[in-house]
Amino acid sequence: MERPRITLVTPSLNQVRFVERTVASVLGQRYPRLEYIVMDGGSTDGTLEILKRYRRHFAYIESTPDDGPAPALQRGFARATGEIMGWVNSYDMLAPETLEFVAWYFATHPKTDMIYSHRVMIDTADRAVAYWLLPRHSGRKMRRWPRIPQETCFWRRGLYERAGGIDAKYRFAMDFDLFARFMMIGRVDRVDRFLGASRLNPSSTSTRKRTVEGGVEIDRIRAEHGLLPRPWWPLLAHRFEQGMEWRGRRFADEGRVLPGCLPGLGWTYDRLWGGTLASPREGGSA
Amino acid sequence: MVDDPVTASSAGEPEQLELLVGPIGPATLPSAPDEIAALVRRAATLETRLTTVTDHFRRRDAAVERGDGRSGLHDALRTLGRWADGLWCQAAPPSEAKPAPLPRISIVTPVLNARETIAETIESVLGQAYPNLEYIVVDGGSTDGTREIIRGYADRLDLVIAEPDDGLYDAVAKGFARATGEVFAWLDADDLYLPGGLDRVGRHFAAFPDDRVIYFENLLTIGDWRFANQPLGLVDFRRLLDGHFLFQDGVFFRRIAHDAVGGLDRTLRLAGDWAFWLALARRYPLRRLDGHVSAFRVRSGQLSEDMAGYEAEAALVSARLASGRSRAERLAEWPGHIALGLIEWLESMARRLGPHRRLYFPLALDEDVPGPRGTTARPPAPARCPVSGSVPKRLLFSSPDTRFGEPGLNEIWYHPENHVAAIGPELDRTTLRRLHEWHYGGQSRDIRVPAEESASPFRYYRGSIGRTAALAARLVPAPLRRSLVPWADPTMREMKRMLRGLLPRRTTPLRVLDLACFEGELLDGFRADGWQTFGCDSSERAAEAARSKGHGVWLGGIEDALRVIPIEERFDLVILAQALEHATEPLMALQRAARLLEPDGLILISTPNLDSAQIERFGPTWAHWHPPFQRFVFSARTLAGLARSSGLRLLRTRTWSHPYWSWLSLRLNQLGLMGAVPHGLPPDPDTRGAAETTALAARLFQNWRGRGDYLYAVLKPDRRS
Repeated sequence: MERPRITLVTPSLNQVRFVERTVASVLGQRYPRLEYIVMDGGSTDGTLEILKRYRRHFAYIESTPDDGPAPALQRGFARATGEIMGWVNSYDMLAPETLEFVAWYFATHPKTDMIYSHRVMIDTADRAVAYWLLPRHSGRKMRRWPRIPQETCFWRRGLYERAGGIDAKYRFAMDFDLFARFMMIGRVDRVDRFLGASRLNPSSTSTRKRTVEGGVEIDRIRAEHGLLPRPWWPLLAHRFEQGMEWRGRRFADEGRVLPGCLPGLGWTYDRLWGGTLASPREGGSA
Repeated sequence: MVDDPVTASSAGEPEQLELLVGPIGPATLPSAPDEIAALVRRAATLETRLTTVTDHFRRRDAAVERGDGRSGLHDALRTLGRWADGLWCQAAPPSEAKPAPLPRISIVTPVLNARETIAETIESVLGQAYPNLEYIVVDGGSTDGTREIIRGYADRLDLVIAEPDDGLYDAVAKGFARATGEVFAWLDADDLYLPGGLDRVGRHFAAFPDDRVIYFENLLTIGDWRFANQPLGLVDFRRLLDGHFLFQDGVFFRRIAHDAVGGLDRTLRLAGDWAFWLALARRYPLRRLDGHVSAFRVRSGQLSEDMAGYEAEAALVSARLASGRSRAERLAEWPGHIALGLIEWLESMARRLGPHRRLYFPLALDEDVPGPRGTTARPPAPARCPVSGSVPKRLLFSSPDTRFGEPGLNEIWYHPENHVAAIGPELDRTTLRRLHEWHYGGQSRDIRVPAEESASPFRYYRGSIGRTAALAARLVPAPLRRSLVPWADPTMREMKRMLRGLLPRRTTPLRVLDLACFEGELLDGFRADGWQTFGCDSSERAAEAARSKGHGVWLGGIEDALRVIPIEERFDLVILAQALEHATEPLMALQRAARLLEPDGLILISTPNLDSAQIERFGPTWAHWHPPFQRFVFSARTLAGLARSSGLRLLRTRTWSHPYWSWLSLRLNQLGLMGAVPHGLPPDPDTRGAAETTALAARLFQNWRGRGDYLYAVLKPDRRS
């Protein structure tokens, strides 16, 4: 089977605790036509030393002080040559065999332009702490609420170009802006599995700051896309969030298993990877 | 004060008074003798007061539990209230459901001169890692050094009572009077709790607040060997009166139930446990739970040896009970008793269909048990479930390594939730690899017949069971039988049959990777069909042999494949033939193997089958038990679980049996051996016919039901979207 080229971009800044596992989860895919671009924002904490070890696996790596991840991503994607694109933050991880699945899915669903999946939330020790079980995709909902798990998103290059790419003016909600524009012009699917894991509170920026400034950005994005807030939105949003939370909790309690998830809460993400995240040499990617 | 480790001798010997000081630093210790005496007196007063208060509350709880002075209306209102609660709980969101906290468990160990076993017993309780445990040891005045051993544990025990007592049950009753837990049990100084046992008990009582008494079956420890004890049926008051019994070390009850029936009868010396079960069963239903949490040691000089004395006391107790019961009470227990019989009958019907009791190899009572080789047995070595990582529920049997004579016994444990047998003690990968290299260097070619004195207790194990299937197969004439069950190696044929219609279509030759390929016999077959063949093996010699035949071979075990195989290599078929059950972590091995696949590739697994009908017949002497080199015996259900956790999907399974292995099982059954699997012995003519009959019966009646000896499974990446 001829595989499509997949481009992944990782923006990183001072994530020495997590970056190696992120890189291991990308290279551990053993995907033959991977184009992996790392955009470092001038890390000073040893991240670069770790990245150097994997240098021969990267299509491109640069380390220059930049103004947040959005401009870095913009420049990274400008270099991308793959037919399918995605981005992994330097503290998030992919599930095993994600890229094979993505390639297969886009090959068998030619009308789909972008996919995303459910999400595993992990803490700083890699333990699963929550699941987000998302409903079937609905553009009306997802355009309003920023609940698309960014690390599980993959899209076709054509869609990215038509949408005009990442807007560098946002600091926090650039993914919401990008996906909202995607949804307006392309077909989006939610796949019933887990393609990656997202880390809770990885950065030094306080959660409060992120929530407040991110919230302002989200309001601004909605306004730009012509979605004026309605008085009943908070009610609907609450119901939506609660449904997602309950479904995730029940999923964990009942011990249900979907590809890419752990047998319940409290397990380390490495269990899914057969121990090759902690020791990337075992996975042949070091 | 009750919580402090206090060792106090009886009041008559004040010169032996000891006070072990825990948290108080030496700086505050008084030095003058009269000051010490004052302090001790004060402690004693405080303790008396505390006991009075505790007793008051325990009496009050027991009265509420018994329902003293409660009217029928009260009960009805309570039931109604609970029902309404139930409705309300149904409506509450799942986020409100919090697991109940684990109850405090109080264990009492009565001991009298048990120097050899007491340390092991105490270790087994303290090693439980149960977060809410109280452990009380009651020493009835040992003189053989037991006291010194107990003193060594004093800082980890909650209470040590050392004073002469009036028999075993008096000692236990003393312990229970001082215990503060919510759940009680006692453990004799000969017995052990299995790792994780109290955790199961605690979780059950937390999840079922209405359960008062639960009981488990137990294990027997005889010398080094460990066996499953006889199965216990469902037990109620009437059955206990009819002579049924419970294994004391496997019974747990709530404190309120203990207090409500008035505790143990201190006057009895032997049958006190049975009398207590009767008292409990008269008031409460006894709930049987599956599995083992404790092990009973059989040794000479035990109280349990005096069976005549025990029965005499039991007769006394039942006579006392018979006179004390009203006609109404006797009539009232009949409906429940009949219902119990009905449930048990239904259960025995269900047992024929399910694996619950099929995998049960209790020691036959008339068997010769290997004599005790030492007084201190090994601690139990349960092996975790390969899928969920949980502790096992039951022991199947214990077995030495009869093929290579590796010292030590192995224990074969069973996990019902994933239907898998796991072999303990657990080994790490390095040890296992060393054993492999050590023993497979020189292949053992014959069965080692054990000497008469070290004969195994499993000789002719269930060997005489007549089976309808075997009888029916015997009716088939010999020439026809031989053509139906050929002795030729069917591996290649079966594999092709498994893969039929599933392989991807390619213009280039398909690529197969055999993990643990040994000398590449299987790969030869695939290459003859035009495949590109690759292998991986941990033995350098075998890898070299396979390479010389022209296969591409990497050096490494099945977990190492991902490391040693270059990152750009992917395969259309990965074979794990007789390999996964030898891995210490099969889930990890499978997860790694899955990452070597093409997107439309397949994994083919062949492994012994735990669902095999021949296990039922041959028990521990089934030829496919092979500890310690084999770490697990899987079933189709296990493979499905492993597949789910590796992002794979079980596509197809098939089982088959071969007359050679039936012959070997028959042979081993005669010798009472387990776990010996030499390949390529010539079958002797006496048992050859019987083996063919067995294999034919399997082919006609068992294989297609998934109950053959060998299990083949095809897995592919789960493309759920």
